[in-house]
Amino acid sequence: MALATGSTMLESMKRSFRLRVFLANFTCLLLFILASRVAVHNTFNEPLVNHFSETLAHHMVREIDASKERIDVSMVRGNLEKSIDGLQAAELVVTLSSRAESVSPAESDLLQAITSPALNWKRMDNQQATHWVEAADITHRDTEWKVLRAESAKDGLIYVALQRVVLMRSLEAIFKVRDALFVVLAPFLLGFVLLITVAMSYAALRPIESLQKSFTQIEIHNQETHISEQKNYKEFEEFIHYFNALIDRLRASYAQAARFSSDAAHELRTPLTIIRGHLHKMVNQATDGSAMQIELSLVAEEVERLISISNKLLMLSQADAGRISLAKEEIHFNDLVGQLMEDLKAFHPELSFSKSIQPSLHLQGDPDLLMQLMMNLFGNAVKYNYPEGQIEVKAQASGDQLVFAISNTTHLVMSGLDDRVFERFYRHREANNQQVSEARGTGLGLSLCREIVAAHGGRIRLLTEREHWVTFECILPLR
Amino acid sequence: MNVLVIEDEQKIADILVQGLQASGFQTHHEADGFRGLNTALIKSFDAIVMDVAMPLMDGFQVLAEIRRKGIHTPVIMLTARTELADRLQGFESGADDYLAKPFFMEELIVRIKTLIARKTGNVENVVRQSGLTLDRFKRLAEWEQRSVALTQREFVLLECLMLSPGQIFSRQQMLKHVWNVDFDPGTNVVDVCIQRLRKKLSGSDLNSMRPFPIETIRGVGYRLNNA
Repeated sequence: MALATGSTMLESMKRSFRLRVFLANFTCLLLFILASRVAVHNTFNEPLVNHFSETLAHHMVREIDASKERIDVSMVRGNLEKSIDGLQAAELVVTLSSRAESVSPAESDLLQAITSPALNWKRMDNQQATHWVEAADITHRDTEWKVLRAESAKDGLIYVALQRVVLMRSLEAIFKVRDALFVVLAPFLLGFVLLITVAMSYAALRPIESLQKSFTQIEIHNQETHISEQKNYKEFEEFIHYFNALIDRLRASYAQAARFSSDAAHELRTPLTIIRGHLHKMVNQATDGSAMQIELSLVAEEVERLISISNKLLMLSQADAGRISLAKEEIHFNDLVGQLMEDLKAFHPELSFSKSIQPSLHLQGDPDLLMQLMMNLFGNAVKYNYPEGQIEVKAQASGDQLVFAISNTTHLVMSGLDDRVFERFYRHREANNQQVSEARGTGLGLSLCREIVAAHGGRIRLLTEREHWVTFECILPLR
Repeated sequence: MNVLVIEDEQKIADILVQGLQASGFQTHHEADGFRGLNTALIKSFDAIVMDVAMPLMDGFQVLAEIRRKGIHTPVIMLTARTELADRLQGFESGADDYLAKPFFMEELIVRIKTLIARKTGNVENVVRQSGLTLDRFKRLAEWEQRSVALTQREFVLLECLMLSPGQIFSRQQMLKHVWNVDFDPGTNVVDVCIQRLRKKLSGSDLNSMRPFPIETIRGVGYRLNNA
């Protein structure tokens, strides 16, 4: 059981739009953080390197300005070392072109590379400073260097070479701080994403909800109602247009179908009147008890069946066209049902009846139609019953509704017995074939019931929980 | 008695005319609303039977015109309940009665007779037919000086047979008329009711001179002998 609810919850979560948006947003955020790290590390670190170079250049200019006499290389180096954390000796080279002889052999090798004229120097953007600084990148003995040079008046060019690794280490430190910050901020970030999700899904769903609301207000029988293309977002225009076209097509075919069966029923009426009239005359004129008379009366019975079908079709077609007109009046429900039950008891003394009907139930309704409804339901209860079966009738007011239920024992096969019984000309298969010939109906009774109940603003349903019992439950508004 | 039949469908008109004449009415038939109105205005009738859907003028228009000219002849409209509902609001129901198509001729005749009786003021509380007497007011039936009270169902059944003597009624027809059920409940309640009527009225007096007038037509139905 718990497993089942778990799986249904999973199913409903799978279908949740909000959850989707949340996950999408969250994934986007994570991807962004990841991508920015990867990008900065590998490809797009140039702006940061430049930023460090500028700081370095700034320091160089200051050193040049500060030195009154000649530039003291070891002091410059010392000052620069102070401003860079964790610097190792081999990673920084400071030298003057005028005193190149004083450098170590390893450094002189580097200096040679630096002073090579093939190097591509770029003037740095430091117009406010007193000296220009130029920068270049070189790779020397598999090590990447960032080299800056500036010109001092007394000592010629001063070179500062720094290994790129040092710069990357500084970046690493910044990332570390950022990661720590991210961990601290994670709950806030999550909350923020959640908030964004709610806001986004609200913003995204609201026009759809309003559209949905207009869908439910569309009446199939009202030719005029459409969904306005102007009142909704223009992105929905095509969709609404398509929906409206669909509604129009549906209405057209609805109207056509309704008109067809209405016309058919009307047209049938005249020949049926004529046939019935002549048949009655012939039955009356035939010799009493003759085979001819009996046959004619059998034909007359079939004609009555045809008339009944065509009447029902006419009514159903009117229901389809939304034109069932109700002549409502106050109905004493107890009288209506009581009389029918008395009659049925008289018709079928072998059936056992039980009823529990709340006294003095009144409702507003069309007496003819409700009579027809009850007749169909009671008729079915008898028709599909065992020879000595039972019928239970219950009725009570519940709020402003009348709940009426009629149950009967039945010989019908229970499996597959569902709301299809309300479809036109639907026939459920029988337990044994003997009873088929007895239980002949038009196949329209229950669909008519449904239309009558619907016309009164109620609903009807079939309940088959009890084995070998069927129940029809009608809920009708009292007013 | 003279009845004007306004009906555009010739074959239905034939049935109407034949049925009415067989019941002793004189008839005049018109095939469209316009001629029908004309005739109704010129000649005097005891009753008018009129279709609703007709060419030139429909039944409701003819009815309105007849009433406007101050003619109060009873009018029975042949229509369906469904057509009626649409149009009733528009026409202050000038008709005296409505009968749905397809209709039973016997019922139409009974209704015409009732309307004419009501109009001329001689509504009979007592129906006499074939030696049977039925008091509609007291719901008493009398046969061979034996008077018995009838239940509602028995009364309606007997009245139906007595008002259309000589006409055969099928069980189905009686179920519809007396019990108002239009499904076939697979019951012998009609036969039971008829037998009860016979027993109540003729009692154990089986060697009576006159046979009881309700006849069973085997395999068909019942009929009140109008001999």
